[in-house]
This record gives sequence, C-alpha cells and structure tokens, in this order.
Amino acid sequence: MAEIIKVENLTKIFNHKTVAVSDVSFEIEKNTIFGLIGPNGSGKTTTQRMLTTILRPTSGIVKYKNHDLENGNINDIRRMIGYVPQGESLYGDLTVNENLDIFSRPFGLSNEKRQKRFDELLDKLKLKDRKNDLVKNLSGGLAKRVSIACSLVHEPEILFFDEITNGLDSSTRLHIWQLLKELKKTSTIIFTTHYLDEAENLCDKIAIMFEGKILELDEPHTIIKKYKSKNLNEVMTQIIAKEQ
Amino acid sequence: MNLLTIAFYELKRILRNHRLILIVLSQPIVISIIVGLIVYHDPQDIKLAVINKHHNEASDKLEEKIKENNKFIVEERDEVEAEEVKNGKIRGFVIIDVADIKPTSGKVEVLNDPAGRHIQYVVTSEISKAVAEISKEIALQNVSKPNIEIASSLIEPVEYSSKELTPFKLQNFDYFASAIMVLLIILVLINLSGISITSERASGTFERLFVTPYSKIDVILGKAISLLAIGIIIALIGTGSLYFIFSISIGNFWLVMLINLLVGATAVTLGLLVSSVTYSVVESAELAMYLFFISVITTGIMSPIETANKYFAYVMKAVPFYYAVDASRRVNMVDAGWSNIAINIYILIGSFIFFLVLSIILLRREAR
Repeated sequence: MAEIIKVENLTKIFNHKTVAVSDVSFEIEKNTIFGLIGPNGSGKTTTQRMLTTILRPTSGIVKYKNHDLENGNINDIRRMIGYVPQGESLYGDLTVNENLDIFSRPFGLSNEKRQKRFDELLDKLKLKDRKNDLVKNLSGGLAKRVSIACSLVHEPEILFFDEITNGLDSSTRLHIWQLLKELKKTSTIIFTTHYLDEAENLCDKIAIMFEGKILELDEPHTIIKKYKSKNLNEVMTQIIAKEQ
Repeated sequence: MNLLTIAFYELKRILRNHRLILIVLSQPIVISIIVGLIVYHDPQDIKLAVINKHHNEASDKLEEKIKENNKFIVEERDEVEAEEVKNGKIRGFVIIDVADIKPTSGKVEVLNDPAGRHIQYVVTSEISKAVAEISKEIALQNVSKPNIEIASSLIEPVEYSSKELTPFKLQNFDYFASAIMVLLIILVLINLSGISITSERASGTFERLFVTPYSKIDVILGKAISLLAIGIIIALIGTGSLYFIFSISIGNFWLVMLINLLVGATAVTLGLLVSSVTYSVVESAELAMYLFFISVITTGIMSPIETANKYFAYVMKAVPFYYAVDASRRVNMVDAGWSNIAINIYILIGSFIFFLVLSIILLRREAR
C-alpha cells in the first residue's frame, strides 16, 4: 500500500530544554487507521499537533504525499487534512450550520458544493433536524458529531482525531467507532486515545509512545503477541513497569 | 475574504449574546449620565465659616459680599474649629481681621480644607475677588468726590481680566466629557478584544481554525473589524448621550468620529495584543483592566500633564490615548481643525499599526 505520511526523526523541544518528542520516525499507509497511544505526557498529542501543522517541529521531516511540512505550502497541506480536537472546539453561540460554514469557508469550495456537502454530512451524521440549533444546546454526543462534520466538509484525505471518544457514553462511542470504520474507506485516520480497547479494535497499526519516544510500532495483535499478553492493557502495564 | 468570514461570525456571536450587548451598549449611556451628574456644574454650595473679628463697617461689608456669592453657604463662627474641617462639615474658614480705624487696614486669611483641592481654587479665587472689590470701595470712600477718577486709577492702575479662548460656551463638564467619550470606547473595546483570543484558546476553536487555511492575519483583522463595528456604535451612543442629555460642546463632528474610530482601532488591537500574550480569560481580563486604568491616568483626565513629574511626562506622551483625549478636548473645546490635531491622528494610526503587527507576530510565535 502507498504511504500517505512519512515521518523521519521528528523532534520537538519546548523552550530549548523540555524534550516532548524525540527522534520519532514512522510511515502511515493510505486508508488505514493509525493509533498513537501512550500514557499522559508520552508525546502523542505533541506529535499529532506537529502533524496537523499547529506546532512547528524543532527538527525532522514530515511528508504528506508530495508535500513537505518544512518547505511545502502549508495551506496545501491543510487542505489535505481534517482535524477533530479533543474538546468540542465549536462555537457554542453559532448554529450547527454556521459552525460548518465558518470552518469550511477557507477551503475555497463553491457555495453550491459546500451546501451539498453540508446536506450530505448532516444526513450521514443524523444532524439534519438540529442544523439550526445553537451548538451550546446540544448534548456532548451530538456536539462531537458536529465537530466531526466540521472536519469532513472539504473531504480531506487525512483525518486526525484527538481523544475522540473521551467522556462519551458507550453507545456514542460505538457509533463513533462505526463512523471511523466507514471513513477509513475514503480517508486515512490518525488518532490518539487512552482507551486501549479502542486502539486494539480499530487500528491497523499503532505506535506506543513513552517519554517522547516510540517504543513499539506495529499492528496491535503483533505487539500483543510479542509481549505474550492478552491485550494492549497488559502490554502497556509491562512497558510502563520496564521503563520506570 | 477569509477575514470577512471571521468578522461576520464574530459580530454575529457578539450580537447573539443579548446580555453582553445589554452590558456593552448600556455602558456609554449609564457612565455618561453618572459622570455628567457628578461633574454637573462648577463647585456650588461650598460650606464656609466666616470669623468676623471686629464687626465694623468694612468687615461687615466684606462678610455680606461673601454671603451674597451663590457658590458659598456661609455660617458665622467666633473662632477656628479644626474639628469641623476634620469632620468634613466646613470646607474652610475666612478670618476677617479688619480693624475699625481710619484709614481702614487689616487682613483676610483663608484656611482651606486640603481634602477639597478643586474647591480650594474656587474659594481662594472668589474670596480674593471679594476682598479686592471691597478694598477698592473702602479706599474710594476715603477720597473726596472730585478726585475719585484719579484715585480710582491710582488704586487699580492695571485691570486684570481673563476669559476662555473658544467660540463655544463651555460648562465645567465639557472638560471631562471629551475625555469620557474616548475612555468609554477604550473601556468596552479593550475588555471585549482582550478576552476574544483567550476564550477561543480555552474552547479549542482557535486550534481548529489554524488547521484550516485561515491565517493569523485573517483572525486578528477579522476580529478587529467586528469589534470596531461595536466600537463605532459605542462612540455614537456615548457622544449622543453626552450631547443630548448634557448639551456638551461638540466641535467638528466628523473629526470627533475620526478620533473615536482611531481610539477604537487602537484599543481593539491593544486588547488583541493582551489576548495574544495571556493564556487564560482571567489573566486577559485582569491585564485589560490594568491597561485601561493606566490609560485613564495617563490621558490627563485626573490631572493635567503640567502636574506630572517631568520624566513621567514623557511616559504619558508615549501612551497613544493621551493624544486621543488631547485631540478630543481641542476639537470639542477650542474648535480645533484637522491641521491642529493632525499629529495626534498620525500617532493614533501609528499605534494601531504597531499593536496590530505586534499581536500578529506574538500569535505566530504560538506555533513555535
């Protein structure tokens, strides 16, 4: 399979002293789900923030198909990606439709095409009846769906999800899992999570990070086998015990 | 076009928050009315105590003259009671010590309440005027009729008069009104813009915006445009309330609006700068208020620049809002035109650009 993201020796140092990510390298293949997992402070969110262009790497190379993060046009890269942050990250005092509008306008889609995409997404995410509701009046699960819709309007090739199921009830989580599996058909998904069952069930490949480094990079079942464990939870327990 | 999208939705969000709009739009009206009523006229009904030591013709005349002055409420006392000043019951004692001998001579001493500085100037000036008038009257009584004209010119060879160099009929409040007009815009806009970026940072929308092709310039300028629109409304309401309720003097209306527009632009970009360098809404609000109070003090609303320490006067002149209040006062009180305040306008434009560029640079640093 063709790789869509190639990361080489990626490093992020804050204030010249705090090493958040150290010399990380990996490749992500097209139409796969890639999971960045690890305990708090392991560097997974910083890695994702660099890949989403929010943070500038201290050193290293990130390539998105033909685009290079360091030398390429950042807007071309941003047109390729969609990002769903951890919180709702929406304007509560705007309606669902207005949130879709503000986050999709800079992608340069025609009004007609944008409206068509809104209708498709509202339908797909079962938000059609709520499109004129203020986001602050929606439940957590509905707001999360709006957040996902906002990242999909411009049909990105790569989707980033940061702790997407955090704080959601089990039925909403299952609904989002279904959605991710469906999105995988058209996009490549990179997500961070601390729910290890989620990573095990959804990811084609995972990177286990600890103190800014990738300790394991493979398919979940291969890593589980390597550690002679039953699941990723046990793997993580072993890794933390060994590293500490 | 991206910045217009940001401006449109920012404005929509502000206008949709009815409580915020009520607070923001009521400020210029309520504050104008409160300040207008506090600084309603020149000091009046100042409580003075007169100690007339000898009660003769001359001293009684002077006491009568002081009592006739409608700025004072006069009570008689036999001696100075410092406690009355400490209690705040009396603003000063006027001691008339004029002996009943010919030719008349003596002295008048005023003991002022130091806590009423503005009142002190009025008391001193009014009492000295009364003393001069009575002195002249008494002196002329001692001169035989044919010589009155010559005596009059000998007693007061140089006549003193003063008046304000303005085509307007000014009231006490006009001095404050021009400053209030400017400060109201700063108060509202520095607070609104001061939290606009930090609140987005807290809600996560900021992070999401910057994973799209919106640039930092789009966001800063978009926010500035929408907040400036609010600023224009505040300026119109503030100026309107001051004009229609208190009939304040207004010079060239378009110049006044230009000054207000530039004050708004500078306050918004200063607020955005505050928002760029702070990381929580509380920090932003505190810093915005901090800068607002520095602006109030350094504009010279409390005391003119002539009273400042000579080195601090340079600091006052480095604060852009000093030039805004100065220009506003000159336009509204002296009928200054464009050429008279052009430098003030250029300084405000320069400050606006400086704060704008600095906020964009500081926001860019976030990605490092």
